[in-house]
Amino acid sequence: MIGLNIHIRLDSDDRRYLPGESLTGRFSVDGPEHDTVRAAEFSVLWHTTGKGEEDLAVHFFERFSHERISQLDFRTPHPFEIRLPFSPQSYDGMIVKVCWCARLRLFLPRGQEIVSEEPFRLGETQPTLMN
Amino acid sequence: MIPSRHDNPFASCWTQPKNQVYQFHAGESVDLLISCLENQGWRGQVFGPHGIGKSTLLTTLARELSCRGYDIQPHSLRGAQCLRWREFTTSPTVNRRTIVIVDGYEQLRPWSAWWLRIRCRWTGAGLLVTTHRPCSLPVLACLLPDLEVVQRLVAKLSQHTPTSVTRSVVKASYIAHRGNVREILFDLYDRHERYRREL
Amino acid sequence: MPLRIPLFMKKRGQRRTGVRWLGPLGEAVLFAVLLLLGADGIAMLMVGAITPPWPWLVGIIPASLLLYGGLGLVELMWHSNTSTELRSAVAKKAADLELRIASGESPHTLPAIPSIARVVDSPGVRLAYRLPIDTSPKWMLLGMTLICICWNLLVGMFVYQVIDLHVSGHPNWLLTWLMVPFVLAGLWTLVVLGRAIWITTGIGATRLEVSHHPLHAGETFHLLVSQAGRINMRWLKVVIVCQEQATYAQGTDTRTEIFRVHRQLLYRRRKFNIKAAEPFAVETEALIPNAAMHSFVSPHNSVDWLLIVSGKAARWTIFERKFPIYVYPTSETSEAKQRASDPTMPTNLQPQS
Repeated sequence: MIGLNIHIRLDSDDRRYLPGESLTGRFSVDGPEHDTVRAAEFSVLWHTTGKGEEDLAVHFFERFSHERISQLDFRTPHPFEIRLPFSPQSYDGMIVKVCWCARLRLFLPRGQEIVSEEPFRLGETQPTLMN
Repeated sequence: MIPSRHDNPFASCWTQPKNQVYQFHAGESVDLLISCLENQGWRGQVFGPHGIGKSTLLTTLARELSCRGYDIQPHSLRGAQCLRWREFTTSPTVNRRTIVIVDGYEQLRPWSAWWLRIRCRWTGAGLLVTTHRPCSLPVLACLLPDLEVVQRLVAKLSQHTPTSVTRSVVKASYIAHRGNVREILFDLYDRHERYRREL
Repeated sequence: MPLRIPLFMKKRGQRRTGVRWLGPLGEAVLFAVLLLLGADGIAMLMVGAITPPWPWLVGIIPASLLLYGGLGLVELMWHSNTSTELRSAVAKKAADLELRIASGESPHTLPAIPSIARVVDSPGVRLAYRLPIDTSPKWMLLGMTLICICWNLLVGMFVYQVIDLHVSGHPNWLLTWLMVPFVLAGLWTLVVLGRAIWITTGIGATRLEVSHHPLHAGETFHLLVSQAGRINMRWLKVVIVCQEQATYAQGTDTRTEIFRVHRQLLYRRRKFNIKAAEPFAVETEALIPNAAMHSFVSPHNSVDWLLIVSGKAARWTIFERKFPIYVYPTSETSEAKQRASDPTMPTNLQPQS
């Protein structure tokens, strides 16, 4: 069991954002093994899910090296602010869904990785109803 | 509602062979199969009808063999692909720690399959394949439909995401699709989406 | 004991074991042989060393060898002397350049949205744009015609030779029987081509024009449907459709599934005649539902909007012609629209920096 906790908090209570709006929040990492993190990658991305093969595209990406993590100390919440694009908007379809999330990936010793993500909604597209 | 991959436990991201662990019958295990494979000189075939879980079993075995330090060379064939000699790579030294895995062995052209077998025997590399019909390699596993295995698989998939799909629905789907696990999971995906929208 | 020159190599990250040059050398030899055979064949035809009855047609064979061998060598050199990153960068640059020329906008402005270049390049007669059909039958017909002509001409030459042998009293029965399946295949291509031409020309062209493009959710647009031909129509329908498409590879199978999420009938008419000199035309309007999903495309998934014109003519099968349309995400948010209609409404958005 890895002794690390990842927290990603978005400022919007309902996690709903409009196209072109800023996605703001903060992330932090704590736990007894927080100083074993070799590197971290924070990204804002969309991916598809459903019946088809999963497609993925990264909108924002930032990598933190070991030195930078030591300087920044991720136990303290690290803020982020990213301008969201106009597309693709979140979509709850029958066989195709488009999902947005903020993701933090931590790289640990011996090739281990842990990932945590916080989904949010972009746009006001209605879910597909049954015909 | 925020769309997420957790909306449907039968989405492809959860049901693809690379993300699943094969559900063994009672009395079977991955250790037993690997022991069997070793007794057969690291040569074996897994055969069974479409959608029965051959690729999933192959992935599970490959993962375990990789953890045990074997060098795995996977090849997945779709359509009438020919395993071109230029693309087929194997260790040039006699290496019993190399195992070549071919998913869809029956799609190889006869001379490609022959060359592959000869090449593996010559170098000492293992050969593990999936096929829809028996071939000349020793049989490692012959997969047949099993409702209980499917029920366990569905229970495992839906342990983190509640679903209105019941055991009787799974049974009905199993009968309708004659045990084809792939088609059953697609069917359950559709049913889950319908139930979700009716609520 | 390992081979001195191993025939296979193993990739280990960026390194390779074994002899690297053997594989590409073998390929180069193969392509060079094909190139030489092709060049030799063409040279022999040109100097008259061989004189077949239809030299220009027979010349297709050595020309194909020449082309295949030459292109293979070029591709081999390109792959040998450039890195994967360079090839990828060049391909991406070419794709971006084509997109910029076609649409006049950066491909990164609206990610995962298909380009409307095909639509805006084609002005309509009465409305702003004429929509291209999803699959043009012209190219298919052209391809089928070429195959039919080439095959039947080549087979005809050999049949002529066979008949000549029979007439001259030296029949070659083996060759005669070998020609039977080729002749039957040629007749089959003629039948298929004839049927395809009959269906395509008999029904006539369907044109569809729209008032503007791209479209947005909640928007109404006008469309003009025109159907040519001399046909006694049983019925004609125009519908607007939104469908999801998902492609998945499970095990060794690849499958594509389509699910229709929205369908609305825009126009329907029963039992009427279309005259050759007077194409049928009707103008109507369509609404993209509020909060509908915009057009979306990714490598394995898509959301597509289509206008479908379908109909049944007397003594014909049902025909269906699909015209893709593109719904773009709205640039204005619904809150901004509400504010425009009610200026007193408080705003929750931060000012744009």
